[in-house]
Amino acid sequence: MKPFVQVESVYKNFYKKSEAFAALSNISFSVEKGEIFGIMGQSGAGKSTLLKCLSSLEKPSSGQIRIAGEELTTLQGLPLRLFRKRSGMIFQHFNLLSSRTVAENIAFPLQLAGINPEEIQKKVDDLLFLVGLSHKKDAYPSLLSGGEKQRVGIARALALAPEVLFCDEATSALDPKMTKEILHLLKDLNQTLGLTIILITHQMEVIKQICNKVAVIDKGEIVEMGTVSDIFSEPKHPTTKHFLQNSVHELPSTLFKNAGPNKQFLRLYFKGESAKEPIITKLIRTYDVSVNILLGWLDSLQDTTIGSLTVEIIGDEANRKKALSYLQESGVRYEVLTHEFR
Amino acid sequence: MSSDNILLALDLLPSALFDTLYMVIASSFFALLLGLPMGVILYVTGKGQIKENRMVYKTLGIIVNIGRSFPFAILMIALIPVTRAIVGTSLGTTAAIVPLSIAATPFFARIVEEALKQVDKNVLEATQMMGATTPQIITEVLLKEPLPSLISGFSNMVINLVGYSTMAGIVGGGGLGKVAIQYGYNQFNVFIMITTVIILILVVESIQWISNLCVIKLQKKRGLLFHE
Repeated sequence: MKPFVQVESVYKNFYKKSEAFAALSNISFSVEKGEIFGIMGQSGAGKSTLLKCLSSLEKPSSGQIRIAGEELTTLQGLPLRLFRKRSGMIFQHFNLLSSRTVAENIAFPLQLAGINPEEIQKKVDDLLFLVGLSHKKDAYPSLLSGGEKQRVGIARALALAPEVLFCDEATSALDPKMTKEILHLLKDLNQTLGLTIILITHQMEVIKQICNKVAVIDKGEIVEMGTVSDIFSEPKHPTTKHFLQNSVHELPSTLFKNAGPNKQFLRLYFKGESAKEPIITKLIRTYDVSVNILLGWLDSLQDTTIGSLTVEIIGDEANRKKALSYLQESGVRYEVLTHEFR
Repeated sequence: MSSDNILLALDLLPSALFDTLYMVIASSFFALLLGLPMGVILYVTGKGQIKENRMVYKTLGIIVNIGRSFPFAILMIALIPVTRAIVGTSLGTTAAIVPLSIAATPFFARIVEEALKQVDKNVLEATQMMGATTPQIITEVLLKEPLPSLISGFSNMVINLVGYSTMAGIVGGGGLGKVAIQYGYNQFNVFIMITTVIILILVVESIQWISNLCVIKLQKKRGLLFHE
């Protein structure tokens, strides 16, 4: 069976005074039904353009995008509008209509689809209950908090029972508590409705808490892609590492100044079961090295534990070599840190 | 001030006020009817908009600019053949409605275009994502979201029309302007002139008052304005 979302070598160029600028180049990935797929990147990396292409608001310059059996790049007119009705979207700034109440905003896509008023009423009540806003039914959006506005946005996006939900930085304008609530709600909807979610974000939080798979995008290209636990336990690309480091502390650069001939800085990565084993103790007991722990963190993703430990390993070269090969044998991934890359 | 003057004023001013209101209301109506769609077309065909179309935008833009650059007195004379074709005569109060409507239409079209530009582009995008057709986007979003600006822009145009209508005397139209010129300016009747001007001020004030009332009520309803 073909995947629910299939993106194949998508390119998107913008032209500025006849000079082409590649916003997306050679983007390919697929998403299965019921997955939460995260696209992470810094601002300007091209993730917004990618989401616009996926949600049919923009057409790629070349390449194919198939979602739920529809080839998006060739859709136009009525078939395009029908596809849009099968997908929902929520936005960073919510994009609610200020001229409509909460209930009227949620009813909007239903009205556009020409559904009869009684059915709309019933549907809207259900949706209000689903997002926990029944008591704000007749309020206008300007009187709601950010979290409440996003709930209205979600209810509106779900009104036509979409098969896929696109989230455009949906929690970036919210405070940490509301972010958590909204993410919780999204995960819930994913599990109860089997809703496929494709989101873009620059927040590690979001990826960590709800995504199954993640693609890291930099300068218009996917630089790393895989399950969230794989990517975060063994980040390879600098952009990914940068995202991870932003959420933990960095080593002070002065440490590297007193690096001697018998010293080495290591960063060890742990994932799942290996995170729970006493690796360091074994290292010290078995080999003639001493280990100085500089920095460590442990984080739980939805289903696994990942972590990293930055250590200084001291001993003569032969012993250090043995120690490193022990690490390799026990399946701990590590990297040797130099001054340039901490 | 003599009682003659007061009697004269009572004789002239009610029907002059009626003529002014008749001209202003009728031409406002026609300007709304013609200017609103024109403004919407200007907006949707503009650069980067949902129905971008350079040809339509440029052509309509030139027509609007030509209409706006005509001095009203000259426009009235220039339109005499058109007026005659529509009303049957080029003289009188009803005949003045034609040039008044035609003068106000391009002005209102630009007001509408400017008001629509205030609509958040992202909201339009969200509406497109719901599978809305262009007519649905226009009636449900573009004309409703900026309603307060549309109302205050419309009242601006009506007030302009009050000013223009005082020149209707040139083509034999009635109204307060004609009285002010004929009795006040030509016959040096200061009392009539001042009274006429005061009535005109009151007319303008009431239009502004009604418009403000509507706008504030709407904004309060939408929660965009808070009570003291």
